Amino acid sequence: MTSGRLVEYEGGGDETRSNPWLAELQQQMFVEINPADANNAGVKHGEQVWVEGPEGGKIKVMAFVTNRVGRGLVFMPFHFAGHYQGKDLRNKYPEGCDPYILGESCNTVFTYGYDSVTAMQETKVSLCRLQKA
Amino acid sequence: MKLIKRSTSPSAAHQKNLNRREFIKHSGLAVGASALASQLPFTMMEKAQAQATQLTNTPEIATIKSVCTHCSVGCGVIAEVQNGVWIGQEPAFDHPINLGAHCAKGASVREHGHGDRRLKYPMKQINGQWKRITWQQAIDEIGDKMLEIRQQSGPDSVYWLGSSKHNNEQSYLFRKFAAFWGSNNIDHQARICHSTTVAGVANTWGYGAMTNSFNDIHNSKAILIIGGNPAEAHPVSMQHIFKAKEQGAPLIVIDPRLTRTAAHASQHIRLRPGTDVPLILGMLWHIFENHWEDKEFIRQRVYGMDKVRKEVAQWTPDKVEQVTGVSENELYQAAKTMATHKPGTFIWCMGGTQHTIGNNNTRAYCIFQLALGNMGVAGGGTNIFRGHDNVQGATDLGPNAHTLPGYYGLAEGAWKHWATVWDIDFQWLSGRFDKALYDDGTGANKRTMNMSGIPVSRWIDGILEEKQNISQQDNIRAMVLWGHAPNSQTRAPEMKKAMEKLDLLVVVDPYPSNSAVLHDRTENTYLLPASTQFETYGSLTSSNRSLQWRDQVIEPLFESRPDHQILYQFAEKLGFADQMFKHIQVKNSVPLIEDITKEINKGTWTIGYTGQTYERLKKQQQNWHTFNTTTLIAEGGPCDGEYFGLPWPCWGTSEQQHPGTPILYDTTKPVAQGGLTFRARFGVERDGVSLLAEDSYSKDSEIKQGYPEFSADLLKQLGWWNELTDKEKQLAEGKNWKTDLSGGIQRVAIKHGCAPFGNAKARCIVWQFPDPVPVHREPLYSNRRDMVNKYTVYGQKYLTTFIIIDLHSVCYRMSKVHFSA
Repeated sequence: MTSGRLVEYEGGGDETRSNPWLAELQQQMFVEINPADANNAGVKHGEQVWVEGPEGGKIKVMAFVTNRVGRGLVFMPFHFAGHYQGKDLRNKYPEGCDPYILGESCNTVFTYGYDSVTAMQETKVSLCRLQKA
Repeated sequence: MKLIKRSTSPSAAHQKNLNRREFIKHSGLAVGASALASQLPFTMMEKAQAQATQLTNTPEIATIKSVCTHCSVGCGVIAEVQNGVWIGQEPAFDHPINLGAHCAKGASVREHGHGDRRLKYPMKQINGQWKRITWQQAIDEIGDKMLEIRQQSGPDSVYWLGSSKHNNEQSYLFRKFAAFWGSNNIDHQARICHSTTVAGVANTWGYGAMTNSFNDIHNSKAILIIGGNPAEAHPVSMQHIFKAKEQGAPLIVIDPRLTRTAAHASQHIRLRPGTDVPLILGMLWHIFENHWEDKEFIRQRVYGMDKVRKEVAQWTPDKVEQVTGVSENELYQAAKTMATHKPGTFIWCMGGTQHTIGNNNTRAYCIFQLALGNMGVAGGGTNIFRGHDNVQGATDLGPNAHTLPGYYGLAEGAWKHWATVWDIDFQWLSGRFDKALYDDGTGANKRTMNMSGIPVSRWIDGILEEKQNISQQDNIRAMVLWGHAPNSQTRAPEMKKAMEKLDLLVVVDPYPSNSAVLHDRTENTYLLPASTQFETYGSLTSSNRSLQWRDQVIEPLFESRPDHQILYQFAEKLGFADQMFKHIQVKNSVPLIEDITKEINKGTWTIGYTGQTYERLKKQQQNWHTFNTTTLIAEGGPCDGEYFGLPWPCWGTSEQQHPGTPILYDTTKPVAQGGLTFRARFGVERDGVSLLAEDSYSKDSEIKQGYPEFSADLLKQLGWWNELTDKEKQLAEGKNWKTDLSGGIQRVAIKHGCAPFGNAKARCIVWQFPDPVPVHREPLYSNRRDMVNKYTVYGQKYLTTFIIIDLHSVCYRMSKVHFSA
C-alpha cells in the first residue's frame, strides 16, 4: 500500500476538514483498489472495507475501485482522522470544535520503518490485507 | 485588481449599519424567514422595498497582503478587511508566483477569519470532560508540572514538537526556546517530509534545498516528476509546469499511481513502490550505454561518478524490469527524452523521500542530474517541492532535533556561535542541559546537549521504550504538540498507548487536532488555542528559498494567541524569559517580530539569511508586481535588480544589498549577482583525489580554479586580509565565513568574485552514510519475498539511531555530519 495527498486537504487535515467549503468537496476517507483486487476480495465500489496492517492496526474505509492504482497496490490519502479502528470519536472533541469531516487515519495501519540517516518514516510502501466490512 | 466588479450599491449590512454580530444574527434569521415566506400565500408577501438609506460612517475596506498557509508554493493572498472582519479575498493577479491562481485551499483561506470550528479557549480535561480555563491557569499548571518533571527526570523528559506552520520568526524562537529550556528533544514535520532530501542533497553539493524555482521551470526543455503529485499537493505550481509543456517540453511522471499529475504526462511510468534506486540507475544505464552523459561537466564539477558507473553496470534492463516492473523500452524512452531535451528539471516529493532508504533515493536523483549536466542552469536543477507553507523556513531556522538554526549542528562551536549571537554566557546555557554523559550510538559518550534529540518520527518510542535503551536520563513524560497533526505519523495504535502513558499532554494549535481525541486520557491534558498566520505577521520561506513578508489580516480570533506570545509566556513561567528575550522587545507579553528577524539576520551566515532584513522584505511585498514572472528579478522600481524573496543565500550584511540567489550553483553569473559554485563542504581531497572544482568557477571569479571555503586564514594567504575594515578584522580574526559576525569575510570573498563557501565538485559518494553510493534495499515490508534476501535491509551494523536503540534488528543511525554546516 501507499499513501498521498488530495487537493482539498492539507497535512493532517484538521484545519482543512474544518473548512466548510473544502469539507463539502471531499467527504469520505477512502482506499483506492484496483478492480481485479476488489473483485478478488468481493468488494464493490462504495462499500466499506477493512484495511489491516501487518502490525495489528486496522481501519474501516470506503472502497474506491479504480484503475488509477495497478493490481496489487492500494492508495489512501493521509489527511483524515477522528475515526479509530472503526470507531467514530466525534463526541470526544470539545463542543463545537470537531472538524466537519472525520475519517480513519491511514497511519493507523502504516508501519514501523525509518530512514537510515534521518529517521524519516516509511509511509510510501507497506503491506495490508483487504476484507469486506 | 478585482476578478468580479463589486456592486457599488450598499449591502444589506451597510444599510442597517449593523455590527458583525448583529449581521450574522440577522442573516441567520433571514434564511429562516425566506424559507418561511416560500410557504406563505402570495397575498401575505410584501413587495420588497429597496431602502436607499444614506450610508453614514461606512468603515473603509482595507486591502492586506498575505501568503497562503497551505503549501510551500507561496501564493499571494489579498485579503479585504472591514471593521476588523475579513470580508473578502481577491486573487493576487500581480503576484509573481501564483499570478492570480489559487487552488481550492488557497481560494478558501478567508474561512480562517471566521473559524467556526476553531479551538476557542484554553481547555483542560477534568474526569475526561473538556473544561474552559484561563490562559493564566493553563500556563501556571502546565509550567508547574514541567518544572516538577524537570526536577525529577531532567529537561529531556519534556518534548517540544514544533511546526512548519510557524513563520520564520516563530520557528527560530521555538528552537531558541528549547535551547534555553535545555534539551534537543524538539523537532517538526520536516523530519517526516523531506529530511532525506535535505540530508541527501546537502551531502551531494552543499545545500539541502530546491535548487531553482517554480517559475524557472518555464525554461525547462523536459520535466521529470518522480513520487510527486503537484496537481493535488502544489496545484498552483502546475501553471509553471504547463507553461513549459506548452512550449514543447515533454512531461515524464514516474509514480505507482495514475495521479492527477500523471494524467497530464507525455509518459507515465508505473514503478513498484520502493524501487526508485534501481529505476534511476536503470535510466543511467541507458545514458552511459549511449554516451549521453555530459563528460565535460562531470570532469569539472563531479566527484565519484566512476563508482556510480560500477553500480549502474549491474542494473541491466532485464534486472531493472524484474525489480521495478518497468520495461526496457519504457525506461529507454524516458532516458532518451531527458538526454535529448536539455536542460531538464527533476522534481520529487514524498514518494521518493518517505522510505527506509530515502537518502539513497534522493542521492540517486541528484546523481542523475549531475550525469546530464543539468545542475546550475536555468531550466534544470533538482526542484524539490516542499510541503507546508513554511517547512523550508522551519527546516532552515527552527525546531530541529539535530541542529541549531542555520544547520550549525550541535557541537560546542555551534553552541558558542549562537551564545555569542544571543549575548548569553555559554556556561550558563550549558548548565541548562543534563550534565551526565550518554552513549551517542557510535560508542562515544556525550552530553545530550551535543547529541541529536529524539526525532519526531520516534517520540512514541521515547515514551514507550525501556528507559535503559534511551540515551537520556528518563523517558519522555510530557509532550507538547504545537502545530502538529499526529495522524501524519505512522503506528497510531502505539501512539495511542504512548499518549496515555504520558504525565502531561499539551496541544497548542488553532484546532484541537487528533491529539485531543486519539487517546483515552482523562486528566492532565491541555488544549491551548494558537492563532493562524493570518492573525499575526512575519516572514516565511517558500520552497524556492524565497522569503516573503505577511502582514496581519485580522486580530487573533476568540482567545487564541500567536505562537511567539505563547512561547514568551512559557519562558516567563519557566524562568528564562529575561535571558531569552535579552535583545527582543516584548510588549504586553508579545515579542516584537522585527527584533526576531534582526536576530536571525545577525546569526545565520551558513545559508545566507543575513541579507533579508524586514525592511527589504516589506518593500518587496509592497512591490511584488515589479518582478519578472520567469526570472523573478525586479525590473525597475524600488527593488530593481533584486530577486523575489531574496532567495537564500542572500550573502553578507544587508548593506551589501545582495540580490539573493535564484538558482543554486549557477556559474554563469557573478556571486554578487546570484551566481554560485558547488560548496566545498567535504574537505579538499579524498584518498588523494581533489574534491575541488577543475577549470570551473563562477563568472568574474578571480580564482580560476576550485578553492576551499573562506576563513580568516585563507584571506591572509590570498593577501586580501587588509581589505577588511579594522572593525571587521576584530570580529573576523580566527573565524570563517560561517562564524564571522562582521560579514567581512563574505564581503571580501564576494568582492573578488568568489563564493564564501568555496568552489568544489559535487560528490556522488557520501562516505559517511551507510550506503556511500546509493544502492537498492527492499522496503521493510516488501511484497517481493524473492527480493528480500537479495536486497537486504540494514543489519546490526548500524546499531544506533538518534538516541533510541532500535526495536527491531533493522537499525538506523544518525550521521553526525550530515546536517552540520
